[in-house]
Amino acid sequence: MKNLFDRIEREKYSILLGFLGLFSVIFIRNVLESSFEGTQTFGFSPISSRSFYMVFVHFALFYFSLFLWLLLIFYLFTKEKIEKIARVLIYGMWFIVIPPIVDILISKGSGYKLTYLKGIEQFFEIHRFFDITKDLLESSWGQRIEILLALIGGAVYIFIKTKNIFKALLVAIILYLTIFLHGALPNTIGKIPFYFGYKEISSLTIVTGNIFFIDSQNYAIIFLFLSVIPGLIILRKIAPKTFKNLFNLKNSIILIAFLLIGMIYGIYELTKYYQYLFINPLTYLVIVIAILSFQSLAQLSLIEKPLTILLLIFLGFTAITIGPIFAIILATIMLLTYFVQFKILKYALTILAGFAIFFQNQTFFCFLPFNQKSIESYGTKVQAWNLFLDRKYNQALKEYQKIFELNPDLGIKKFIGRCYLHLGEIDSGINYLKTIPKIDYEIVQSLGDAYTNKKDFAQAELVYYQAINKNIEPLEFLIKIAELKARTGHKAGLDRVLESAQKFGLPKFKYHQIIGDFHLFQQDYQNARYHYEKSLYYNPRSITARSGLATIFYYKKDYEQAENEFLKALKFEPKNDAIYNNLGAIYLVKRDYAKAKATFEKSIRLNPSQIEGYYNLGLIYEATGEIDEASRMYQKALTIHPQFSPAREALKRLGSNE
Amino acid sequence: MNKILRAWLFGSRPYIALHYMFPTAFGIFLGMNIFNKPIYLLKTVFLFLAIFFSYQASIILNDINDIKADEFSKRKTPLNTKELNLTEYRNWGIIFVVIALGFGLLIGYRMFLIVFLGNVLHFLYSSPPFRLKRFYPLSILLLSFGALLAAIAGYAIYESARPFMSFPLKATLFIVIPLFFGLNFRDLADYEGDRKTKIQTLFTLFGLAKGRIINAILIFLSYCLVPLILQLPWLFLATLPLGLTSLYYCLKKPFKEKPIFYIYFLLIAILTVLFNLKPALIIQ
Repeated sequence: MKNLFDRIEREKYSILLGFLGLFSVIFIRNVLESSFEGTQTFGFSPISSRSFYMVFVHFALFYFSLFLWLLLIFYLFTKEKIEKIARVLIYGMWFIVIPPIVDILISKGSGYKLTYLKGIEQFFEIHRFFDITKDLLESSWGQRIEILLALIGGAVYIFIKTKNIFKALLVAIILYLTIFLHGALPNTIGKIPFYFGYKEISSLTIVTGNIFFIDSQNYAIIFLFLSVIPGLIILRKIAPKTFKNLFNLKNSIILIAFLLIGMIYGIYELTKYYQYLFINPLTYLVIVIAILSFQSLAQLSLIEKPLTILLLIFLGFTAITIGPIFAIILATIMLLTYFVQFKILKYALTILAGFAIFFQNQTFFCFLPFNQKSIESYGTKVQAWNLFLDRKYNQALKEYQKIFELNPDLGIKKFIGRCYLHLGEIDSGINYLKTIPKIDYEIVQSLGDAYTNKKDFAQAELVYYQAINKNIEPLEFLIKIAELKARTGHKAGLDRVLESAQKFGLPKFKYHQIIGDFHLFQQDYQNARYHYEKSLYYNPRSITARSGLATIFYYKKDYEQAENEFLKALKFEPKNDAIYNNLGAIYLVKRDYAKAKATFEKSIRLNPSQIEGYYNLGLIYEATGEIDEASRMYQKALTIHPQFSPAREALKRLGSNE
Repeated sequence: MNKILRAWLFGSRPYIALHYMFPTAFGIFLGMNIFNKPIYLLKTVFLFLAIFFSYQASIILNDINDIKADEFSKRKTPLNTKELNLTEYRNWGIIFVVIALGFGLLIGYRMFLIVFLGNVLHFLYSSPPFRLKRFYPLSILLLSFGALLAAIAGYAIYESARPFMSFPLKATLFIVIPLFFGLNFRDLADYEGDRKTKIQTLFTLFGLAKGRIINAILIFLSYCLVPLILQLPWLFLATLPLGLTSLYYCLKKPFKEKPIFYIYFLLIAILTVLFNLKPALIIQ
């Protein structure tokens, strides 16, 4: 082993090649993970901008940050040359390709849904990671093997270098905590506003309520910030002079002053419309990173050659992470600095860059103060998006309608339609969405779901087939059609669709789940159970199959088993409001009203725009004689979905009783 | 430009380029037949161009990293014949990668990802820090995966959402296994260079004499595996003579690559006719 490490340490290649090697390994992990894990969507998302940020920025920065932290830890424990440790560590990074390969084999082709940790509070549950007798929601088997191998590899390296077993063990523990923190940090940062008492945005996570439209971009900001910390410490160790030069303010003070002017102007214009700007911790991270990027840009010429590559890599990531327009402006400033020396233009562009952080792709339309219409339109859009993600659809709808009046573009129509759908006004939602001439993934999803909720299955199928013909996620929409056929009991049609879906690589668990659904709707519980169990054999984490099985038990009045199965399903999807509703229904039947009430309330907290939760709560209040409360709940259900007949009938019933 | 063209015609490069085009065409054929779709001419042309330029970039990358080995093996490359200097040659490589990615992007974002992956594999294969071509048999496996990726790229014109999961298993085996056994012969011409620069190949591991025999057997085996994977025993009638002829040329001194390519192309021609007559052979 020592010889192997020695050989790797002696290898000679440039920093740029080292970076490209590391990036290549990360890219392969991303391709494998997106193809084999979770929804098995190549590139992680059908939306290319989102996919780009996930593949090239967010996950790349996650692993870079991890790499830099591990490098720092190894350096602190071994005092070995950083270049040597980096060479060994680059080889060690091949561990990250293990999970998708292991998981696709263990899960018999289904893959696992890999999730981030809920937050730092899960620190007290870390022992569960090592309990190999239990399946762990937050971590797949492949990830567990990957991390264990990384810990062993790290410990062996430290032991060989120091001959100290205690140091080796300590490093293994520190490595584990570092990996844990990388997984837990995004959601922990997302919760910061909540800790400061901003209750009204308590559901704010890092995904919601910020200045970016792409969730992955937000994660990227966090990991970029996280990699800057070890990056600077390492830089100080390997090149103290460069480190000193980097923070020499002489060169950069004017540049940063202009950047700040741009930022303040952007903030001033945006906060008129977007009230959450300063509540979001990401805003501060973005500001710090942007300043650091301009500081680096100003000092680029002062730094010795091999390190300029690192600085350029950092600048590239910063620019893309903050946004494409910021990246373009930064690149232009760089060209002006090194080739033209046109100072006034450089400073003007720096102000624009500061402004671009907050106005993104609308920078050029909003920069001039007399263009208030554009500024208002953009600010309201950001605010509306924030409200939409926070599930405040009524408010979001009002904001979107305001924007539509200012600037009637098709993109806004999509959001108006989606708001209506979330509010239960299905017809209005459909009317808005179907007037958009060019369908995309989100429109197909929303329209298909809307028609399905309306029980207009023929129209839903039509929409899905439109998407399939345009090669928009054909498998996903064929599965939806098959599920509709299963519901309607159309066996011949179902067989045809499943045959087509198999050509697109329909996973076995999904095939059996859909056949199980078909039998369930036919009330053929024996066959349904057989197929659901088969589906769970191929994917024990399949929520739909698990819920189907639970439903069979429910219909057979085996409430204990049904409850068990729903609880198992919740373990893998703790935020599934529909499962809470089903679970609540069991408690309701068992007349355990307190438990049922708590469960329905939880379901509503998770999805306030649903009708079932309110209706079920109404039933409980009715059963316990709290008529006013019952009536209020039925009314709430009807506010969301005015055509919801069970609630109407319940209200009639209450009226006639009075 | 002339220098580049001349450089490209050195050795067996046009043949190897063709070798990458076959899997791509095979992938397109699969996509058309599985999804009952016509050929999308523009996308197909763009893809062939993307694969072609990716391959040219990979040659440049390989030449840059194998300067010493090529000198030992007396292999002519634009670098050791001083046709081009290192910077010029590298710049051409970068331009080719950008062109390849551009063509990928013209087809769609996901095709861009596949073309990018192809270039990443080339980089991992040839260049430090990993230079995976040093590790046998990983190097050959990687080349086989390269061919598989070219086929998946063709297939992804028709199905880009889950191209790796939905690509037929039989077709995967049909590409990867025979190539894994049959591609060793490419290292024979570079024996001296590989030996002196400590690159593991079948020939540096077992010695030239033994290596040649093993290589000949493996290439014969790869021809025999085709009917087995396709479950077509009568195909042995074609593959056995072709395999034996390849075996003969592998053992013949002095070793020449071109006849082996010609035999390989003959097999491809036979399979092309066969698959066109009965696509179900490879789809199911």
